[in-house]
Amino acid sequence: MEKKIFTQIRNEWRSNFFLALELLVVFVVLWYIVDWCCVTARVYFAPMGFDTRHCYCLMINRLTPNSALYEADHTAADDMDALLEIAERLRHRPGVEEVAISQNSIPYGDGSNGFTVCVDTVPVHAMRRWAQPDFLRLFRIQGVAVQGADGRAVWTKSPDSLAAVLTPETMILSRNVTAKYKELRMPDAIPLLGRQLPLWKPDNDYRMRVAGIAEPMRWSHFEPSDWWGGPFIATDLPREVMVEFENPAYLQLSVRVTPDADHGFVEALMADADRLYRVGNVFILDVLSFDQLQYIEELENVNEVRTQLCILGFLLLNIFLGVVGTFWFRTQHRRQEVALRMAMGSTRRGVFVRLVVEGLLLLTLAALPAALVALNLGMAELVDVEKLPFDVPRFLLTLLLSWLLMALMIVVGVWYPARRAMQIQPAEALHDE
Amino acid sequence: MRLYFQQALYHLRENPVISWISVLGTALSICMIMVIVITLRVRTADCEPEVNRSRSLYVPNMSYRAKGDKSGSSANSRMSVQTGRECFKTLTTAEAVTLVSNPVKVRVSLPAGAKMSADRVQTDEAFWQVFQFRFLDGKPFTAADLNSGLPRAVIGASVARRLFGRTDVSGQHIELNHVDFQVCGVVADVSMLATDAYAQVWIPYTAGDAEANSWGNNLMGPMRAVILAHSRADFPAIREECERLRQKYNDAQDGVEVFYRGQPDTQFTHLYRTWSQEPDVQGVVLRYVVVMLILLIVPAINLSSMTLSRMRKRMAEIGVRKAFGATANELMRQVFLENLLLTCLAGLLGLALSYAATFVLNGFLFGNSTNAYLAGETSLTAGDLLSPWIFLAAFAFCLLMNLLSAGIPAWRASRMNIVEAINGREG
Repeated sequence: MEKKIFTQIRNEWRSNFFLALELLVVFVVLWYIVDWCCVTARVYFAPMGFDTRHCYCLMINRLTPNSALYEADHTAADDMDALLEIAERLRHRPGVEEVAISQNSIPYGDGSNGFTVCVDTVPVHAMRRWAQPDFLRLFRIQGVAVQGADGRAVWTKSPDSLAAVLTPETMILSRNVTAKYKELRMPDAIPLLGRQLPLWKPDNDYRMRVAGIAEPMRWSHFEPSDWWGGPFIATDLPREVMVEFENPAYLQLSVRVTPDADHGFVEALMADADRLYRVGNVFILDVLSFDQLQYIEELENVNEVRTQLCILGFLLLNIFLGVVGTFWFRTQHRRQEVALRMAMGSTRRGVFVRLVVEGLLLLTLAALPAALVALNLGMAELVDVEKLPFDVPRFLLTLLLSWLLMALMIVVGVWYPARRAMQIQPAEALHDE
Repeated sequence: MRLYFQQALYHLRENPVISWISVLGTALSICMIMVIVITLRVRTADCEPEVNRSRSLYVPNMSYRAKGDKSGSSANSRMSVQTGRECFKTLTTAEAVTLVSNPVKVRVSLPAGAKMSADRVQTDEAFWQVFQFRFLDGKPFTAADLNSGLPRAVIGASVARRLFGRTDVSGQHIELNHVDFQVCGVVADVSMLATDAYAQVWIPYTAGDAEANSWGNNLMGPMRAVILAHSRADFPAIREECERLRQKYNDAQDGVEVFYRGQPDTQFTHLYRTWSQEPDVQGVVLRYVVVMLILLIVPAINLSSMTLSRMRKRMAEIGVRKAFGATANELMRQVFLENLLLTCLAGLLGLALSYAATFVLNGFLFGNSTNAYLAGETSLTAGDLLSPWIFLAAFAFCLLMNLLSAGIPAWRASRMNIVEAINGREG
């Protein structure tokens, strides 16, 4: 049967040519998008390293001298004490589970600081998560190991044990912090646990002890864990350091509430804000949930996904229309042939299968050169290779997925013309002849 | 001519399935292209209150480095009021220059108790000249207000309604972050699509903290500059003068220098500039071209194949026409015209669909990380959509589609061998 279909495809080449050309063009573009979607999905669904459900970010501000409420004699230290007082009052608010102050360190934030520690002579640079120990508990940062009181390594996943070992003299590293420094041969930072590392320069006498290792915190759902923000160095944020920032507006106050209390939390808090949470010159300007922050941070990426999916849908729809059109003419053109086949005992199902196989064969014929083009696109690294390498399984999987998507469209597209063809009465069609 | 159209209509009706498929495919393609065109146009063409986009230049970012530093390390942010004043406000080749801060959240409250969060910018009196707002009540703050740092505020209509329940509120007092301000004017709400003019509350920067809020040797701060030229022809002269002013400014600096990374930008470049990176305008344009090509070519192949099949069914007719003296040119024209009718029908449908899409998919098309922080709306006006420019663009794309899809069939029809065609053999 296959041989017959091949001959037929060749004989009908003129009308098949356009369909084959379209399938070829579409296959390449479709493959590109499918590949992009696969990479994005793979990165998207990887673990984030933290949890922001039921968490809120409070924006803090300071009164200006123009305000009638401004207290002119307050210093930066007074302002920070006011901020700490606000945090303390929030801790006692019903429903609040954790409160933590941090600087440029919250997930889905728009700013970040870099920090360098030296391992032997190699400076290791990563994002600084500069926060009170409660930060680790609040965002449920997953632990790997901590150095216990007796100096021995304890394997633990609990954020509490991480928080317990973070002091002004210690730091916590993410496990992948040294991974990109090939000369260290340390894909995992666990061997550093307990070591005193000099800050900024190898010969610096000021050292901090690595007291814990944690899982990386990804910057967003669209960035893999080895991109900026994933590898981090967490250090404590004691009051003296806070004072150096001068303005409390540069610090972030994060709050986690219990799931039961997470209804209308923002409205209730802002209603009380002027009465309960304005201390000295410091007040709460606005509250955003971390869901909103995530939405804001990822919006452009999400829109890119939507754009790609729109084009994907457009291409599939066009294949569908193209297949319907081509096969519509073909079945009309070949009414007599179909009728003859049926008169000779071919079943309706047989006719349908025949047409589908014809379509799929055509697709496979078009897919072969398309796969070559795709392979070249991949080898030339014109696809997204920053997040995942372009390797054989990825290539084969995306080829298969593209083929299946297009095959689906072809089957659906052949279905209507084929049904019309099958409904003819052999006698009538042959009578025309 | 009329005969062609009658004939074309007849053929469309004769084969409804194929006609529908052709129309749908084309409409879909025109719809997607027009959505791209409309989003681009809304963001780059002149529209209220940014009526002068075409003759404006933008300096949103500022960078500074150690003098003569080649290592590429620099600090990047907005500019301070001082930098803006000395490097841009003093331009003599421009019609007007305004300094505008980024919109930031501010707590707006009435002594009586109503309160809300709103987006506030700090700016100067030239802002009201560069951008044209519709004032519902009162008037903008003046140069005198700015110079003496008077607490005056222009507020948007929705803020006025939320606080006072009405919009004729100039002269009333409001508190911004617990500081007293007097409302001097109320303007119609501004869509966030006007990225540079958007805010809900505008105050003179001398009455806010813009000047105090500076860093990096007082080079950096919260401001960006918008330069209004007399005409586009003045752009090179303005760029030149900016460079002169920059060098003069740097001469007075101790050990550091500011640089602009290719700014001032035109509106299109401005749109695609992200933080401290030179925008890859060529890449952006290339991407648009590739997407549009895909959107055009794939349906065009479909249409070609269908038109060609239809031609084959009409071979006898074409053969007869040729036998009676129709020239190749005439036949080609007929195929083009017939096909044009179809594409134009589809184009109208596609344009209607794209209007619907801009409303239904508003958040997707216009949302970005910058405006997601803000409280306003990305609303479109009828003027944005119903401009003759949009119709012309839609028609141009229909024509292009027509050329792409009818080219091969028309050529084949004109080359058909008369005898074979009449006999129904494939030529």
